[in-house]
This record gives sequence, C-alpha cells and structure tokens, in this order.
Amino acid sequence: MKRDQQEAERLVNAYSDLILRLSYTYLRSTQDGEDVCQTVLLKLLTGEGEFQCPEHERAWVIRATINACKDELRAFRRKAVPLEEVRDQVAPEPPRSDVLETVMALPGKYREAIYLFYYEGYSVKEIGELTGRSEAAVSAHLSRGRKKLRDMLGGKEYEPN
Amino acid sequence: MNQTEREYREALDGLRFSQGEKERMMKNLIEQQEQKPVKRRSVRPLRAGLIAACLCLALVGTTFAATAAYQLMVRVHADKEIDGQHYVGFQVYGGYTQFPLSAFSQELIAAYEANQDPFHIVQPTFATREEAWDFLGRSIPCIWARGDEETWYQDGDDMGRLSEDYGCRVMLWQNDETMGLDGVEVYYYLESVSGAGAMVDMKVLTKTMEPPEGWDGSLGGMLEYQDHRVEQLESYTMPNGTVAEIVMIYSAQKEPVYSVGECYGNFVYEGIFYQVRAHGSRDMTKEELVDQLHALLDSFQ
Repeated sequence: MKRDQQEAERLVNAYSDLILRLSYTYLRSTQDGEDVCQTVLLKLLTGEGEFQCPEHERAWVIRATINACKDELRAFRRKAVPLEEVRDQVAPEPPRSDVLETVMALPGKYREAIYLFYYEGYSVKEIGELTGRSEAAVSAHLSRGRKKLRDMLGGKEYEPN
Repeated sequence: MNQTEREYREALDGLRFSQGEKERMMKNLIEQQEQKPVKRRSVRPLRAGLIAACLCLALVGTTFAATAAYQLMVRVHADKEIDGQHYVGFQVYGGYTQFPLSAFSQELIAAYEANQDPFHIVQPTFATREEAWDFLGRSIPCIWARGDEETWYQDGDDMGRLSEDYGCRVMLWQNDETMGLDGVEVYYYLESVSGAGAMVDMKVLTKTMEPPEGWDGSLGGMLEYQDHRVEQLESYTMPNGTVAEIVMIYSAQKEPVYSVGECYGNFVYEGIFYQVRAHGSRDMTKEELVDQLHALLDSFQ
C-alpha cells in the first residue's frame, strides 16, 4: 500500500500540471482538468510493468490526455451538468494573459500544435507521432495558427526561434 | 524566445493545481485503484510507442531514384528546411490506386459519415489484422506481414494498457474542410526474435480524396534532424515479385545506445502503399538490420 501511495504521489507531482495545461488547451476550461487527470493517472497507476524511459511515459501521458479530452468533448454534447454540481467544483483559475486568451481563441487543432511545439518543446515530427497527424498537417497547423495569432495580436510577431 | 512566446509560456506556467488539490487527487487515486483490477502490459521498444502517420507534402528533393516497373519513386533529402529546422530524410511517390468508397466496409463508411468533427480522428484499434481487414473492407486487396514464432511475430495475446498503441489501428483521414474521406491508414507492430522491431504502415487512398493545396503526390516518408544521415540502399525484390525501395536513416549518435538507425522498406502492391519501418536492437549492425527487414518483407502475403 505504501508503494502505491508513493507511486500515486510521484505521478500526481510529475504529471498533474501537464495534464491540466493540456486539457485546458483542448477543453478551454479547467473545470474538467481534475477529472481528466484522475482518468489518465488511474490508467497509468493500474497498469503493470515499466516504460522504457521517462520520455516514453511522458509521451504516453500526453496521448492518453488527448484521448481523454476528446472523450470529454464528445460527452459535453450529451450531458448537462446540474448547476449545483458546477458550483461545487473548485478549479484552478486560468491565468490572465492577452496572449494566452488569444491562443485559446484559435481553432483546436492550432491550439494543440502551438501548445505541444512552444510549451512542451516537441518537434513537428514528434507532434505528428503524438497526435496521429501527418507532419505536413502539423506544420500547416503551426503555420496557420501563427499567422492567425499574429493577425489577432495586431501584428505582434510569433515566430519560431 | 520572443516576447509573445515568453508571455504564453509564463501564463501557462501559472496554471497549476494547488497542493491541496494534488493531495485530494492522490487520495482519490489510491481509493479508485483499490476498486480497479490491475491489467497486464507488455513492454515494447520505445520507438514503436510513437506511431508515425507521415504523409509528407510539398517538399523539395536533392537526389532522385525511380523504379519504373512499380512506378514507385524515392526522393532523398540531404537537407530540408521546415520552420527554420533542418532535416534529412526521404519521400516516396507514385504507383497508388484511388479506391472507390464502395470498396470499404459499410461499418467504416458509417464511422466516417458519423464523424463531422474535424478535431476528432476516427481510429479504432483491433486485436488482430483479420478484424482490422473486416473493418477496412475485404474488397481492399491487402497483404500482411505474416511473421511466425521463429522470425517476426505480433504478440496479440498480451493486449494490456498499451493496446491502443500495439494492436492493429485503422485511422481514417478525413478532410479538414469537407469531412470527406481522403484515405485510410492501417498500422501494426511486429517484433523479431533477434530483437528488432518494425511498424508496418499501409495507406489506402480514396477516389474522393481532395488533396491539400500544394500536395506534390508524396505518399509518405520520414524526416529526421540534420544530425542524422540518410542513404538509399539497393532495391529488394520480394517473393511475390514486388520491388521494395530501401532507405536507411542512421542514428545521430556515434555509438547508438538504441539502434544503429532505422531501415525503411517501401513498396506498392495492388495500388496500396506500404512502409515498413524497422529498428534494430542495441548491438545489431546495419547489415543485420537490413537482413531483418528483408526477412519481414519476405513474409508479406
């Protein structure tokens, strides 16, 4: 039991914030971040064996989070959450930032590419592998996302290094 | 890093769970774990965990080779710049057929028609290739790598936590704008008894495909960072007479701890494009890896 607690603690400390940011990028809400986190980390915790390396485990967490977010998006269309339930939920407050709000106004596929490229530091090729998209599609999403962002920010540059 | 990028990163840095929320999550995780059975999971090589759906478009090549009989062409890149980063790699062109939608299963067509969300990719995973073929449609003339216990094999019995990655996945390409079906891609992974691994990627294009602007007809390929090295090897004729174009991309490390590189076998059979991406074990030489790839290509039927 102690080992399970230590593992749960490790996973929460290592991945909960990553899952929160990624799910916020997809869902535009932090309300469901904890649910997504719980879903993904429980899958990780109840599996057996070892990953090849931390990068492999991290890539698995990102893919699982993306899948969980897509499930949430589909579920959104079906379920109506009672108001009382919404009031009871305490969620992390999204930071106030013009740039972040502008990114969040972009279509989902552009937000996804921008988050994984600029925040997580993955290459175009790796993003393709993580999301199941072609490299060309990821490249196009990054490029179009940057252009839209530049237009929306009034010409403020947002170019790769 | 420019100001906008910095602001974006700093804003996201500030989005985090409080310590109290983390502690509540840990408690919930422990409670839920006690109620949930533990699954078995097989351990597989790292590179196979990342599935590449690689349809590289609109790139410019530096060298060129062709095999007229199968109309499959390989274009090797010694230096390709995308978004300021330099890559080496290759692309493959030609020889494909565009299949009518009537060739696909009704189940697949229903799945694609039901999805009108460009953000969602329909990509079910099946435990066996037979089930994947049923979903794809038996009119699609596929051939499959048929490993056995002494050469290459697919461990389909231990489908634990990573089953989504290691089953046989069928991914539908839907056009972002029209949601029409552009093509279908099938992946599965095999391991060899000598420690190599390979991802088989099969691409079936549809007659309704609406190519994106600027598409140069590339069916697939792979790009790696500039510190890698690419080499086109001698073509290989498979037992069924199909010629596979072989390309090797060498690891950037002088003494690779994982694999000397990755060896790609590319071929078209009955209008369907196949790419077999093999990697070796730590101590496998390039020649041994190429032999392993040839053995896997021999097993297609």
